[in-house]
Amino acid sequence: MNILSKLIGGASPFDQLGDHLEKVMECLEYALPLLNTALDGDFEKVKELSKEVFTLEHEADKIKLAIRDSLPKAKLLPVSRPDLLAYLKQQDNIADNVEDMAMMLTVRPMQLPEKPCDQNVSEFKKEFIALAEEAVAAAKEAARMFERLNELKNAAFSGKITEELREIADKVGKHEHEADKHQFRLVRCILSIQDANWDFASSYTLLAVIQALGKLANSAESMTDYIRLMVAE
Amino acid sequence: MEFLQLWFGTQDTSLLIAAILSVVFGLYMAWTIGANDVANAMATSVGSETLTFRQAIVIAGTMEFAGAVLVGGSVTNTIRKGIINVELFESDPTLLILGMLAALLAAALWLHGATLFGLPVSTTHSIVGAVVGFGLVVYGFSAVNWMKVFQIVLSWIVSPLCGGLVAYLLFNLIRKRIFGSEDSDKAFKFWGPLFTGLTFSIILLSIIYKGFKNLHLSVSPFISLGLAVVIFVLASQIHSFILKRSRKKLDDAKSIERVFMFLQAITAAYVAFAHGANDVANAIGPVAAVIATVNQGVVALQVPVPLWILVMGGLGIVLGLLTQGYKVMYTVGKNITKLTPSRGFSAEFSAATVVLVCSLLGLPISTTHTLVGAVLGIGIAQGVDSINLKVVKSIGGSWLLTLPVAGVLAIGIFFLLRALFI
Repeated sequence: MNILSKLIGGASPFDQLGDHLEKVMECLEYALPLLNTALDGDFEKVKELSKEVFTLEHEADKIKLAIRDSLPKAKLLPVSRPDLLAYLKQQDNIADNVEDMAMMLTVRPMQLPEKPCDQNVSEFKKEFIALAEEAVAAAKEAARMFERLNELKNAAFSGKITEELREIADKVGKHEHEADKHQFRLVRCILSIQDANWDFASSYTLLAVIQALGKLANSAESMTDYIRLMVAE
Repeated sequence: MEFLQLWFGTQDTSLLIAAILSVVFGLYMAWTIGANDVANAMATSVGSETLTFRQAIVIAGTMEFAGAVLVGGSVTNTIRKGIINVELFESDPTLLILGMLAALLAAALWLHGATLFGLPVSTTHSIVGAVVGFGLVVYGFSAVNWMKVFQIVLSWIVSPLCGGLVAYLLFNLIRKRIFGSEDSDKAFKFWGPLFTGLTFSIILLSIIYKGFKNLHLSVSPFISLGLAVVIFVLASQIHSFILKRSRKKLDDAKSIERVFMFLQAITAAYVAFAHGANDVANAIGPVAAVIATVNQGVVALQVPVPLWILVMGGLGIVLGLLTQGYKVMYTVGKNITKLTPSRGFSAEFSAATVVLVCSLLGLPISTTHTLVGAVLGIGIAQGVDSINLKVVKSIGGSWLLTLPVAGVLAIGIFFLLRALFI
């Protein structure tokens, strides 16, 4: 084989990150349907959807490992290796959090409090779905930021380009902040339930799902942080 | 037979056989050079689909040949008279003839074999190793001009470094001034023609400076400088005109890359030219030594390289390209598509400039390794997705391996030839 193709041949880490992101996004697509089905009480459907999530998460994991294996120290990269790996971890966390959520929802059918925070249940459901929507939106924006980075890395990371990436990062930050607010309200509601018939296991399930969604939004924000680190000169 | 006697200027049958052998071995060496090295010049252009496969072959062949014939003569002298002290061979010119034949065959065999095993071996290293090897066994340690060898070894380290540095600076300039500019359209229309003009005037200057000696033309420095300025203005104006006529606005990375394709094609031709100028010497230097010794019967301290030997070297390279090189080019082109036109241009322009300057100074350097240095420079400037640094190690390994292997091979063949001839 010729020396030049040996030198720069092989898979590009950015292409591989793109492949991983694709799987992660496929997994993310299940987050909202999962929550909606669970809130509707269709436990069989939840189990079905979860199975898909587990497969996709596993596939994403395999790509993640392949990327780690293909990044030996003897590779010269345009960005710092620790930043790249840390970014990969955050991207993978998105799929992990969807999986955590799916797992909690398949353990037992979801129970909802009758009168959370003196509201009726539909208000509570709305708040829950809003949290999920904000978290998913944050992750989708973060994915868009990576795709833009991938397109723009051929040019200089200067001026107008970093400006554009910063704008996307700001959007992710806003979604994450909204998600935080919903998360706080939901947790407060659940922890203030005074019903004697309400069991703790139900609270725990709800809290775990809420936490998974909150973490999902946080990972999306971390993704943008690492992209900004990679772009910064 | 009479024609051959006349051509090589000798009546002696064994000398005649030696002369013919040197031509055969020289062609073989040139063929291996064409078969492997040429791919490096054109592969990035084929990979980015700037040039079709057929265009690449035609351009590479023409430019390699032109470089070899027009500029190739100057390095030839260094290999021939620099590395071993030819004075020692004055008493017995036959030894020098056999030694050069052995060196040629050894270097060509080693190159050929290494290519089959996929080792990154330099043609220049091989011939130097082989010449040093036979010099050592015939007259011992003192026959080798170690200062000269040291200089050459140093240039192997310096040339990738220079290639890397120039590529780093050039790519940073492109990135900051063109891609990063507020008005990249205007920026490219300024820098693009400048690069084109520069490429053409450097080629012209090197042809005048070294090449015209072979054609026995002399040009005064003023005229050559004037000509360089004229060709610079002409080339850049034509490029400017072409750019103005296509009214496409260059405001994103993709459209800028597309206009870089033109520059890339020009510099690919430039690399082929520089490669021909530099590497043909490895094949024809020893041939020139043998022919001159056969012709004059004594070891001459300095011989002119006849034009027909340069032409022969050029033809050998083109032949290698046609028979084998296209295969290598095809696979390399597919593998290095990640080198976008702007990066390909930066790497090629820098490598060709460094190689040409070194070969004008008479230093035989490795074209491939300079190009590798240039690609590394672009990698350090964050222009390539990933570069496998292990290859740099294998280059180091090939340095350590090539010199002794080519040397030992040359020694073996030398003894074989001596047994046959004397």
